[in-house]
Amino acid sequence: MSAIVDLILGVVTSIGGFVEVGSISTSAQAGSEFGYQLLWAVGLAGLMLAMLVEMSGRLAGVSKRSLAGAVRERFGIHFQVLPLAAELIVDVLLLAAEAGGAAIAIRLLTGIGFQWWILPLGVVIWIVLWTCGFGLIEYGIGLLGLITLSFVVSAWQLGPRSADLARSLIPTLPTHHALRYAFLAVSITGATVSPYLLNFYSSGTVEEKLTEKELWVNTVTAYLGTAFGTVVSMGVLVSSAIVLGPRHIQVDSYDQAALMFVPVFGRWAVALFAVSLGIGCFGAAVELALNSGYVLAQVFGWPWGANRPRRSATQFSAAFTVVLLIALAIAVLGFDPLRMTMICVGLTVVIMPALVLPFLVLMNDEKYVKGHTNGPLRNGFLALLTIVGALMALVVVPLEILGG
Amino acid sequence: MKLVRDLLDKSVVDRHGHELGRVDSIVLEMRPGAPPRVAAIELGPAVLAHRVWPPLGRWMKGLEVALGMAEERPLRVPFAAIVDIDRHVKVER
Repeated sequence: MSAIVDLILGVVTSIGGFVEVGSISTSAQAGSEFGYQLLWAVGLAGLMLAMLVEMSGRLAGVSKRSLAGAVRERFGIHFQVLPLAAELIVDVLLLAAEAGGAAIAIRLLTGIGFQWWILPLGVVIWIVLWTCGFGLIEYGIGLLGLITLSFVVSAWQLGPRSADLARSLIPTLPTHHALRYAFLAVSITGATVSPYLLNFYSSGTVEEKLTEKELWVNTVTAYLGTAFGTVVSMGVLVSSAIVLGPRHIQVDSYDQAALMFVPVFGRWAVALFAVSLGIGCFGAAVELALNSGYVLAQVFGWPWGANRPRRSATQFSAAFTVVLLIALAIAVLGFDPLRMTMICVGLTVVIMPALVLPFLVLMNDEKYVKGHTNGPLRNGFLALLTIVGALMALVVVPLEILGG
Repeated sequence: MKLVRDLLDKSVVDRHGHELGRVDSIVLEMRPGAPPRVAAIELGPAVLAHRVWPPLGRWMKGLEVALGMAEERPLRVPFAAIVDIDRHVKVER
């Protein structure tokens, strides 16, 4: 029975926690500039994420190690140090972008400049991190995040033709702005397959003490949760394609993205968009800060866990506090959150091969996953993803300059 | 036992199961006319940084000294104090 409850909670939290600055901005831009044509990229990125999330959970459930801990142990510090540094940089920048996104959401509601909201938001994030256990953080964020289903409601009400949507799930070449199209396709992948999600999920699996017998819960949660979350991202893309595209509104700020809600939600449009954006970003910010604490503690072998009294895990608590402070300082300096998001997304793609490669080894090592090793299908997928990831990493920087 | 595979970078716990850190370095004792012997394991950010890039290790050491945290760092645990090597390296402390 408890497994069923865990399963439902897990799926619901994945839906509520899926959308944040990265997915909103890349999907909104893709929809406004290319209609439904990039829907396949959202679907494909979702599938990649689901497979990696499932493996992170299986690794953690069987080996009782988080992803970062297992990589340190299996590959050593020399392999880990560069991807680790890159992941921490992406975490900090993305955390700044999420805090900025949440602050912009409050600005949309109140009219008061977004920079005023960053420090108060930082205080709230820190209080949540200091006082809440893992379950409360995960499920609280997930349940509040169900407000982001308004993107799906919006898309549904706008009545897209299902034949058009189905056709867009097959990749096609664009008729115009090919570089921009490629850039957005790569960016959608980078926004979806965030490294922090994988380590966060594996750490959560360790914190929640998933057993080998409950691995099926992990599998179903990973695939179903990610699939529903992907539908929310698709809702952003479809709403943007129907509302913003024909009016030639380019999404270069969140104010413009908010307009996608106007036809369906009328005078509540901006408020509803702001609440969806705000909760999505706030949740991601909490998870990012917590994950930096996890990663640092796991790599150095310190005690860690949101379910532990913070005083018995001082280095872990200090780590997430310092990371949060650095990110807030960057956010207060006032970089445009949307632009910062796009930079993070690009950086994520650069480190993608180093992120995927360890899975290929760990998920076939019986010391870690016992009898639950990958079959040929999943190994083939990982090998393909490593190669595609390496190609994307090579082209993302030129694409960001030419198409971004 | 293969030192790099089975010992280096593993997490270290005390006899109550509290995390102490990871095996950041292994100290070998050279003996004339006999193979080297593992004398101890070392735990601490400075020795870890030294492995990554020696100047980084010196910098980290300087930071520890400046912050007054250099005492007891790196933590050196004699090989004889290792009780068990399984998922964690358990040491008598």
